[in-house]
Amino acid sequence: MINRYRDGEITSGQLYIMIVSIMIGTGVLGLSRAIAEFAQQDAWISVIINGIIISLTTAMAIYVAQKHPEMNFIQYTAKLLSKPIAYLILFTYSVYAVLSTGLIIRFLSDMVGTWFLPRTPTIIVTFIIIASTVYIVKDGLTLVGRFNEIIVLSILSFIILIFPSLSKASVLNLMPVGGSGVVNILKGVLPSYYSFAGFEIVLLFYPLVSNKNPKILKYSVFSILFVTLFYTITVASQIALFGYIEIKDILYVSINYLDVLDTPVIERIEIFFAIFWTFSVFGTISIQYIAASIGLQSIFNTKKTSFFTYLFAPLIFIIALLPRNTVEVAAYSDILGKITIFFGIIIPVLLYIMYHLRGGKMKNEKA
Amino acid sequence: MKRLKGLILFLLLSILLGCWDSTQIEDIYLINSIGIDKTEEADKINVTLIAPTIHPEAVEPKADISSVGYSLRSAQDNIQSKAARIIKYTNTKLLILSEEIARSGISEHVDTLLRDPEGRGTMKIIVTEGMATELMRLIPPVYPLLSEYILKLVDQGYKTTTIPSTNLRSFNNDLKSEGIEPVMPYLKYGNKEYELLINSTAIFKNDTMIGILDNLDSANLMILRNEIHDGFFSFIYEDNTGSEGIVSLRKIKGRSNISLELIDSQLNIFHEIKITTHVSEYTLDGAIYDEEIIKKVEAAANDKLKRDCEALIKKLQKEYVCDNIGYGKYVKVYYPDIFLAEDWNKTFSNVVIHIIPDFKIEKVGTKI
Repeated sequence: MINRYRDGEITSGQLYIMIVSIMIGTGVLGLSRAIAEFAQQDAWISVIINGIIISLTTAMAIYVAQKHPEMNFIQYTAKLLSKPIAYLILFTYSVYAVLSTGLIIRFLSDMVGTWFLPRTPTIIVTFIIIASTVYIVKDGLTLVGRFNEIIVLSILSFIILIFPSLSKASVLNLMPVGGSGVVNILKGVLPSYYSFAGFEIVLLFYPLVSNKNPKILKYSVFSILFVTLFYTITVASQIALFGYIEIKDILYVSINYLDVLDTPVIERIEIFFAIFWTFSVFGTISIQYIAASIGLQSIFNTKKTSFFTYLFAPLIFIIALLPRNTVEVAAYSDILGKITIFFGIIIPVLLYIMYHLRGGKMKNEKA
Repeated sequence: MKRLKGLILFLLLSILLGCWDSTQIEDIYLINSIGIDKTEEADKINVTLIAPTIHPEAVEPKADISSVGYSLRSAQDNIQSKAARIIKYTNTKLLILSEEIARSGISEHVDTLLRDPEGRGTMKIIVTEGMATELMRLIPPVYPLLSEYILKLVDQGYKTTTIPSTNLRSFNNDLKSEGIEPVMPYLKYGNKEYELLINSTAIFKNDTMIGILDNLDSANLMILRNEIHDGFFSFIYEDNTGSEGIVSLRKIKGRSNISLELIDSQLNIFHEIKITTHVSEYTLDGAIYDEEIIKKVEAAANDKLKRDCEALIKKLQKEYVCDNIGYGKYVKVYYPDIFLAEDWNKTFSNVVIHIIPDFKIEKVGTKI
């Protein structure tokens, strides 16, 4: 019915990179603030708990996909949950991906507008971002995979930039460990989950991996754990520097985190970070955009994803311009974050359960 | 089709040209320092901005412009109408507050400067005696810009463990954190013209300045805040024969260790201070190159630091009722049940604090 490799395929390495790349994006800027609001000095524990949950659901998703090596997402979902439900899930996911792309683009243009181009109208910045994204995405998943292979290197700069400000941080700000209480730590898991959003692409992308092998599950989980480790260190160092009280007032914590030291050579290191961050967000946007295109391509069985890529461009442009201000962008992102629970947790768990129920039945039939 | 593609490409490129709205440096006042003073009208402040003139034919190396407004930005708006160039804060490195402004609360100004991404969190802050405007009019003999001169003074004072090096971000951090109160350098005029002294510390309760710690107290506050860098620790030493002389120990490194204990429902803080030093001055007759004498000198240094720090703590506890050292941060962590953020300063004034200095003389210099 649907040709899996019609619009390009990716290597397993590119899949791991894309998992990392889509998860490290807009969320990293305000992650510690969002979690510290609930989990206070223990925000980093919430991140670890969240990382473990996501690793499990990702493992479930890949496990189910691995059991259907010749099928794409819609095919094995149709087999496990019935055809109409499979189409409905994929359609909803595509809509979600389009909305999400629009909001991330708006977040990026707001940030660019705040730090670099305060006088340039949002509409122009947004247009340029969308035009660049369409250029990256129009040739299919293979190119998006390659683009992310390069872009993911910008994350290295994030890791390096954690260290200089640590000289001003205090471990006291992270103590007493567990002092905020179990309930608050668990409350912090949800906002940290939003920042991890995007990992659900494995559902859609796994069937498009050309060199499938049994190790993909292990390495995909490692990718998630890598992001968990990165986020944990980021959140812990930011709270150690600012303390959970001050952090609640800071909008772009990761950028302000770098604005505490006078650095030699590069005078304003936070601007340096913002440049790399912009690239990293382009990675996220490109993956989310192609995911939406692949989703609808699977439903409508078109020849190329580019048709949907062009079709979505004006739609995403409008979505990106809908929020009136930064506050509304955050409010819409929160709503969208809740929806990812459906795709990131509920669907993988459901598929996993259904696979075992059906699998058991099939075994009985065979017997 | 090719033409259309070419046209689209051309239009896109024209948008992407980054330099179309570039501003030449001659068209900008790159503000170097900001000064804030009180005015006769209670609700208004006087803001002074200083920028290098840059222009090769300019008579003065700097331009200073002042204006009055209800807030920092409203005053800036008025200043812009007097300035021939666009005002930019991207290179602003110093905020000078008059004592009067500092004593009336400064959080709104700090907030304004931190909110604007154009400004820098690393902008240093000092309080000056008298008016900030008058200070900013001075042209120091060795530097073309006063701000550069002051920043160097602050830097040296910080490196010699005399004054804190407070910037917007660190001030805000102390202000927002529970269990510590902010501090910043305090500038005084010397006896000679253009002689500026920065060896005192202005102490704050919340965002309001409440007092000044002079030279010795200021240096000891730095030690207690675990900001031990270079600098000398001098004291009068009496040897076995009863003769007196001066010993100066050069601080090499140091660190504090704070532990807490509840003894009979009374909170006790044990503050250990380890300082590694080299002997830099020993004006007594005889040698110091002797294990016994070194131990005695170390004990005398310990005794002196203990007395000085205890006197400073007493001042903070009884006179100011203000924990500028940050003991509250430890109490909050280790005894959260007895820590109440809003009452901490009051609690602090009744805490028993034990100072336990531990000087270590590592080298004696080039003489015996």
